[in-house]
Amino acid sequence: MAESTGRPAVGDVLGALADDTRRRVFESVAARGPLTATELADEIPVSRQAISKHLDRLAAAGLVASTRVGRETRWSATPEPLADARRWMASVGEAWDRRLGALAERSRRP
Amino acid sequence: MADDLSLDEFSIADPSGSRSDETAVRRSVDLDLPADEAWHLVRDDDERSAWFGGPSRIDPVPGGAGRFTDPDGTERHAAIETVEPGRRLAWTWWPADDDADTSRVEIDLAPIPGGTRVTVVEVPVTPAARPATGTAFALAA
Repeated sequence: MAESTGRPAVGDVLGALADDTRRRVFESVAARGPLTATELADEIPVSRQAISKHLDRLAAAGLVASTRVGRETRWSATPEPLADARRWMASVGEAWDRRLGALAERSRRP
Repeated sequence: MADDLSLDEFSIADPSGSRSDETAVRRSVDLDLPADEAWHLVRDDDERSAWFGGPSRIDPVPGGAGRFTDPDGTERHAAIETVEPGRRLAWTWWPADDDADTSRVEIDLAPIPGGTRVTVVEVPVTPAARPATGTAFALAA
């Protein structure tokens, strides 16, 4: 999806966090990772299969990454895309402040 | 590090359980103009270019193309989604050189006593949701 720039799209990052369970998965991994899907299923009331799907979606958005240790897959948070999303919100907000300021000024033109 | 991981500002769940707009940028301004004059400032290419701070041209029909140039020279392609004269203009846009950065803009006009409130909401969307029609038109420079 974001092949041309090699970074996740802000829309994909925020979309990945728009689901309450997925958000909880991310927060658990961020707070206590690396964790396995099984460990996550012990603390979040959904199946291990559902946890795996949520982890895949978070990974596609660049928010988590996995490493294999023996037969286990352990997940860690990779929060850089959150910083991108924050920068996006800030710069888009500034751009609209500027545009709407100019619009108000133009509207007062005699 | 703990601060970097805070999701509070991206808080999404709301009491109704539906997805709210908290991941959107929302701004508004009140103009001392009737809606039709406010709409002209939004709809007219030359007027819009003036307050956008760079050339801005759109084919104002659903599925029409748009082209914007930011003050810093960044070129954006757009696909127009909604055109409701006097009320609403919405489009999806993305920088020509960065297809990961796609977002949807909605400009709403609402009457208020003595004027018109212009509200802008911009929300990031997955590039996969981008309309295919955006660059189908060649816009006259």
